Amino acid sequence: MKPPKDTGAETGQDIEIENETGDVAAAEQYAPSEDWIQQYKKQCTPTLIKGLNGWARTRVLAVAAAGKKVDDYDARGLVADALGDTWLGITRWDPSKCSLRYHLYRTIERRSEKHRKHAEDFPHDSLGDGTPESHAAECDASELVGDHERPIKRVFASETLAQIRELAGDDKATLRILDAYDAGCETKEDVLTHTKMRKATYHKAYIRLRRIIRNLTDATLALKARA
Amino acid sequence: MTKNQQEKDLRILDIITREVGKMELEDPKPSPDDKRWAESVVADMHARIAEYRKSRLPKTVPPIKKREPISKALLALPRAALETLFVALCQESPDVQLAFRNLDELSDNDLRRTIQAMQKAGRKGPRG
Repeated sequence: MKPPKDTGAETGQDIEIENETGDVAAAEQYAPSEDWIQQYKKQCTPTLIKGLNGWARTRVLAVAAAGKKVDDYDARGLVADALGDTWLGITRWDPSKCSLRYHLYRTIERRSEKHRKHAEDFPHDSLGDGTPESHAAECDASELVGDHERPIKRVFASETLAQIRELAGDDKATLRILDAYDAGCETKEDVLTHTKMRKATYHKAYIRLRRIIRNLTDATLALKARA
Repeated sequence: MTKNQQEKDLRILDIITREVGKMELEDPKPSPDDKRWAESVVADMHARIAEYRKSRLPKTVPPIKKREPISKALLALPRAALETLFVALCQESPDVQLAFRNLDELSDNDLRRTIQAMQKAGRKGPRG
């Protein structure tokens, strides 16, 4: 997604941080103009929410890979909170500077990053759902947590990536892309240069990779009954 | 597994999930349950917007101002006399502007009210 030409969304970020650290009065006094409301209402569509939920699910998968127990409610919560907090003025959106979609995309990204860092800093908060697998994972984590050379976050990430490779099976193009990242590539251009892959091949491989990530996300975030 | 490999895996996972997340954002493929949820979120937000707009309306409705009754003198005049009086008033005040120009369709009482308004405004005539 192309970012806006100016830094409207970044300005919103600063206000959000200010509000979240105690400037509640500013949010309470927030009164959107009729023009703002019209823009918000016009851009707040089911298609927007569906797309943002897809984005949030992948970000929550990254949080899960950091060791936090998550489910679909977390992804939906990220979307609903971003939308509601924008309406309440807790995170400020300027319609003249960026679209609502970009604003919410950035809000979800920032907040999921906070969750991910929290999961990395406090791994034991996230474990212990009573299953044998969880118990085994907790025991493994306990052995690792005192070892600063092997932070627990990397164990979960490596397991998730191993699953992705396993689900890719003998899909050579997908595995080549993963190997390219392993060799240090960061962007699409880097991967294309490194693998000498055609754009169409890359694109098709990413569609398959998307399916793998989707299946993995579905399995990780499957809705569970909450106490 | 070495520390370096684990660091790499963390970075790779971040890149892949971001790329796939952007694809999901651009071209969502929601489940039927996600579709229903998205529609309910939008419906809730629209309800909140409607509630907010409603809350901004004045709490009390301003009293309805009754129109001034037509004077007995004007009520007594027939249509022909009213039209003559109206023309005379317009000639006395050439700058007068009327929103309603098709006098043939103006009822007798509307014509009386127009004349009364013109007389009350010091023969300057109603505007707009």
